[in-house]
Amino acid sequence: MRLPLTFWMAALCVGMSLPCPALHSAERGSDKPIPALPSVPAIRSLKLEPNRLTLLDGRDSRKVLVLGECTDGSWVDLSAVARLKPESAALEVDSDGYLVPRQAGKSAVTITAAGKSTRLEVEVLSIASPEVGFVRDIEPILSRTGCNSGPCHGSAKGKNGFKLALRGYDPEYDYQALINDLSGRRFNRVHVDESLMLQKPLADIPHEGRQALVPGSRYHKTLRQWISEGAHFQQVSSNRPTRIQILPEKVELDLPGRRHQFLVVATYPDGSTRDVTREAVLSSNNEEVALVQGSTVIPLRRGEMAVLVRYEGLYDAREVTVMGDRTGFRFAAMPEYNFIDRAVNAKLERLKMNPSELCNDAEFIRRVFLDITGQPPTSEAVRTFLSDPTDSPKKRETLVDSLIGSNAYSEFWANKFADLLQCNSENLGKKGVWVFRSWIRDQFATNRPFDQFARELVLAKGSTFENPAGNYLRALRDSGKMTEDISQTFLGVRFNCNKCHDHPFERWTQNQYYEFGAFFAQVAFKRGTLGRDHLIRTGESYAYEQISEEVVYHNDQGGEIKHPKDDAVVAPKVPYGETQSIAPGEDRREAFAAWLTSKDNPYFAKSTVNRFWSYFFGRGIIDPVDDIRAGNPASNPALLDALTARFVADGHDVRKLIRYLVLSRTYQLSIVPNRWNEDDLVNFSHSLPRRLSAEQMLDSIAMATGRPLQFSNLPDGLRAAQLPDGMVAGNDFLTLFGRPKRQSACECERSSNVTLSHALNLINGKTLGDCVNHADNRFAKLVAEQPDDLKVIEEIYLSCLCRLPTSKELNSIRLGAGAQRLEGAQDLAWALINSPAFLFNR
Amino acid sequence: MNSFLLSTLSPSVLRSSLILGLLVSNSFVVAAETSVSWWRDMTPIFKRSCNGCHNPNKLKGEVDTSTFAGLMKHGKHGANLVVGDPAKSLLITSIAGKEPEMPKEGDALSAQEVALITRWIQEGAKDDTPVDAYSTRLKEPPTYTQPPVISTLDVSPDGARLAVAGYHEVLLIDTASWELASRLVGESPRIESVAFSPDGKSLAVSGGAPARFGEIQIWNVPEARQIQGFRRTPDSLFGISWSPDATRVATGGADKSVRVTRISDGKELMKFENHGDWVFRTTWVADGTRLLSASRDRAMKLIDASSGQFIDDVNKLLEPIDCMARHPREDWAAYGGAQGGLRIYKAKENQDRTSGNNDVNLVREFERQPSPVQSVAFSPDGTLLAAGNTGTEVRIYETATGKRRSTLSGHAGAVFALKFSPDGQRLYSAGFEGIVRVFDPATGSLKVIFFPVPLTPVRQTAKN
Repeated sequence: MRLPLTFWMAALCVGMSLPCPALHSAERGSDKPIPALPSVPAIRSLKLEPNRLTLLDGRDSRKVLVLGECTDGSWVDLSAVARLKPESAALEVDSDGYLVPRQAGKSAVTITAAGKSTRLEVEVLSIASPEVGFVRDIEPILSRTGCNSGPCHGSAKGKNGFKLALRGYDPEYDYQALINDLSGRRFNRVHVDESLMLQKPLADIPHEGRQALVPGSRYHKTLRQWISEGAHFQQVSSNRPTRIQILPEKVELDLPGRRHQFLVVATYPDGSTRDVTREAVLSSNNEEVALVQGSTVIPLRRGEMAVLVRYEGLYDAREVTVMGDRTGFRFAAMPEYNFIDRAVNAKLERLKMNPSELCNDAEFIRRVFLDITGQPPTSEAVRTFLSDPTDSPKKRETLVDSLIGSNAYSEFWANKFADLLQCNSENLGKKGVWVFRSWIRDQFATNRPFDQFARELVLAKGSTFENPAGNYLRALRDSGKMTEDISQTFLGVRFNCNKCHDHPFERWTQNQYYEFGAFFAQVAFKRGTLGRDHLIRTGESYAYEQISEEVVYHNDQGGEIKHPKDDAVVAPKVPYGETQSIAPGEDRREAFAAWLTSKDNPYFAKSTVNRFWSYFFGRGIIDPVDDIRAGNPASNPALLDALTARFVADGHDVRKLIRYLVLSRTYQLSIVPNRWNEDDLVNFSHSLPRRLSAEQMLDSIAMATGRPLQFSNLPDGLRAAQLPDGMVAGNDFLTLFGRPKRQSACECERSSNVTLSHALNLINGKTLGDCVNHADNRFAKLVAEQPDDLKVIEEIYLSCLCRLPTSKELNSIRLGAGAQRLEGAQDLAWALINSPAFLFNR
Repeated sequence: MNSFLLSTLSPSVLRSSLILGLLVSNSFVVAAETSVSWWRDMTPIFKRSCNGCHNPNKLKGEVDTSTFAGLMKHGKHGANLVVGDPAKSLLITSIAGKEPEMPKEGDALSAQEVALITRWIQEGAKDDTPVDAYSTRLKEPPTYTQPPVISTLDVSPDGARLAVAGYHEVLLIDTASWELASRLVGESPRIESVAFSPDGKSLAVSGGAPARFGEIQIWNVPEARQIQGFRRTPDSLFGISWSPDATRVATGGADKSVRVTRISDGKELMKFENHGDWVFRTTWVADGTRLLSASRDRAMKLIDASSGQFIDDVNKLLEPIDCMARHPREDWAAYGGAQGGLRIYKAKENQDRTSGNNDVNLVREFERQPSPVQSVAFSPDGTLLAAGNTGTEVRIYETATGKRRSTLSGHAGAVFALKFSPDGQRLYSAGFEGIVRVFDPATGSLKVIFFPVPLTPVRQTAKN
């Protein structure tokens, strides 16, 4: 007897959402109430940051942070409550708490907070107001007031006929727009206050962007001064800051609600500095943990976050830990199996978190099988492993060694990389996907060092049939997509935004995009002689396959990248570091590939180990793995560095890397959290349940039910992970469960979410139903051959969940008799496959 | 104290209250016995919170809050306010309450601001706008401590006078002595174009106040007297040109229109609205039966001058067009573009285009200029074409060959205005610096350089 559908649906929905904290977090909003300010602990002394000030000129105003050292040795920020009293008329304090110079010379300020006092020495070098410069003074105002933001004049088409470069990446363009466009309409030297560029933001003339400039404000005065001084441009190179620095260096906050201010100091090419806190844009990378208002961080709950700072094309981040109340915590380190555990332990200790327990052997075998081979173990393998009396760590190691390098391993990793390398027949033709996928599989089967693997893909030449690596560039096709996808796949950085303008959140510039592309400008394709018009069978009829091979070649006669701004030819140049010199006529890719895979390239090995890490741990140490940037810091930089160093030292050996990962204690932790790590999602203090990928899911169903898969026009018994093409027509199951079409370099093309349609498909869908109910499957055979109900139940548990049933489970399941016995077995299998224990790798 | 506030308010409320508190703290306080003033108390609030959408250029909901007169007009939903009855006034019901409908974006008005507006309506919604509040008329000719940007200039047909745009005025310069002959001070603070009539007795001027109004002025040159002044559109008018019979002028506008205005009475004879962006230049072709207009929408459009019917785009649409000049003998026009393009086109239909050649009217394409081209001029015999860019250069080309003849350097900013003298012996250039330069087009040598405006005190602004 089948249970009503609603019962299973309810069980399923509850069950599926329960075990995965990651799913919860995505739904949480950040509109939480701000916690009340905790009381200030007893203060022992005050510290100033910086501890002395030099004001360079009349427009140079600066601020100091007032930090209090508590009696327990921790620090709190008292800047908001500190009182500043200048000792002479040489200085004034403005409404923002900034010190404004009034007379040149040495002076001091008495600072009082929380009953303590200290003294700040200030030297004013001059009170003359220097000439206002466009690059140094005006551009930051356009950014701070939002004039050049995306929704306003920074949008691709500008607003109301006035366009600025997005977030000020191109000062020359902005100067043109303000001064030269429309014959100087926007400024008026004769009557400065009649300048349109003042009247509009002041809303003296109706401005859809409302009053962006407060009348009489500092910004208003600076703009006014600039126009009256003649509205001159300024050399860009010497007036854009070279560095920004966030103060203080280290911030640890004890409790939610405890605020902390930051200062941002810019350094210019001439060595001078400026407090740009009020002009810089500060934001939170995790509004769940803390908000940033102005330059103040307001923690909402225990956790880690980074304050991101952006100023004039420079980016930096300051990590902030909010410890929360950890009264009663005592660190219990996990035993260190290898160097990974050392780095993880160190981070957990600092955050006052305890790791979970070790997972048991049954959990381990299923987890490691799925992660290394993409398939669960057979019931026989589970039995053998569980009954093996060898020490658990030893037998786990033996198991891992048997899996790494197995055929199933090569198939699974080929599938993974066929995604990233965009192996799909739309780009490559039917034969193309077969040869390319086989080539990728061979790389894993022969354990090709990863740097050589990448080099071969980037440098490929000749027939795409005879040298299948050429299919990568063939799929990418043009130098723009090569730029974007190679950087994302092999460096983990995104070169998309900077196609049209400098990257708004990173240091990558538009010039770098085209310089990168210039390495591929001379990659050309032509039709080859192989494989034209193949007669192929499609179902019952025959057809010609149109896509033949192509030949990838180096066209040294033509192929140059032109910069869209001025149509000038762009020379190849890497965005950081240097390449070897390129002789005329030489294939530029040689220099590029050497640079890409060099052990000195700080992104190549790091992004690769981070990517592999994410496949085994459910998230990257930097996450998303293909969006490495200052605003997306690593949760454990020491761990990532150690892995990177080891990977490079091992000659980019992928198998060794995987071995380190799965033999770490960290990998083998249980998914069950404890009191001290239940809020952790990013520090690997416990294992994270991961929904099976589409292929893992389908292959697992096939194995559990003993029904080989069938795909049209493909041999029976092929694993889902062996499908060569991202364009498999007619398999809705794989598409539904998020198999990517392989048209993008983004890991995000594959989805791993859980939705109602997934649940409904498994409950009602044909795929699972047909496998479970098939007359010739594991359960039919089992029921026919095995008279003992308990043995049948045990075997179903082993083949579906890779574990033995508990005695409670055994005692509560009745299969029924006669014809109902098979139905009972099918029901049980169906229920188990619909449970989170099956759907998740955990 | 501060921290208590911070902890009890949500971030958005906090932000808005802090910002509003800073902005309006002065204007809130209107003592109970003083009545609320429209000009002093109301306009700053509307300016900050309403006029962005409700102004004559946008007119969202057909409402204009930027002037008293505008506010008193009915909008899409009827009267904005009922004098003496705030509760029945649309204005109040849309800004008051917990989640007010207005403003659509940005922070709601503070309770104090709403109360103030309410009181103003209660007290009779009186207008105390000063009489000259919106006037741009000057009582005295402008004085200059800095030279104004020269946006445009023209030379009289006899070559004796140079008309140069200043601030609020056009300066007429005697080209023999380089002395200031007369000052044509008008209502428009900004002059966008000047054009002598064919007989040289009149000067047509277009301009206005950016984002406020556009104006056409007609001047009697010998008497330095304004004959006509017509306000048109809520923004500047550009590219004025005389019809060959000197009875009409054509202008382009920030409202994307091309208009033909009769100068005797200001009647608008034609309005063309087929451009997709601002129209910067107009010129008359085919003996005055057709108009050619050049726009930031990248097109040079051929228009029937009397009916306003669109005839064709004469050019291939490549880049926003910043400037245009008519060939003195042929029905050709040269344009300068925002991407440095410099091209000459026949001003005729583009019907012969094919998929292979859709640029059939192109006469000549010149080398790409190093920056946007904001001024072009033909020599009187049409053999030379000069182009000024926003760099610091003017380049002179041979029309027939496209060859560059000379490069005139020395400007310290963009060149917005270029004109040959009628005898072809001089090329006038001016722009960002506010300086007029006179070149010999044959040799490219600089002959004269001067400030057209009287400077008090004279200040050196040209920097090298």
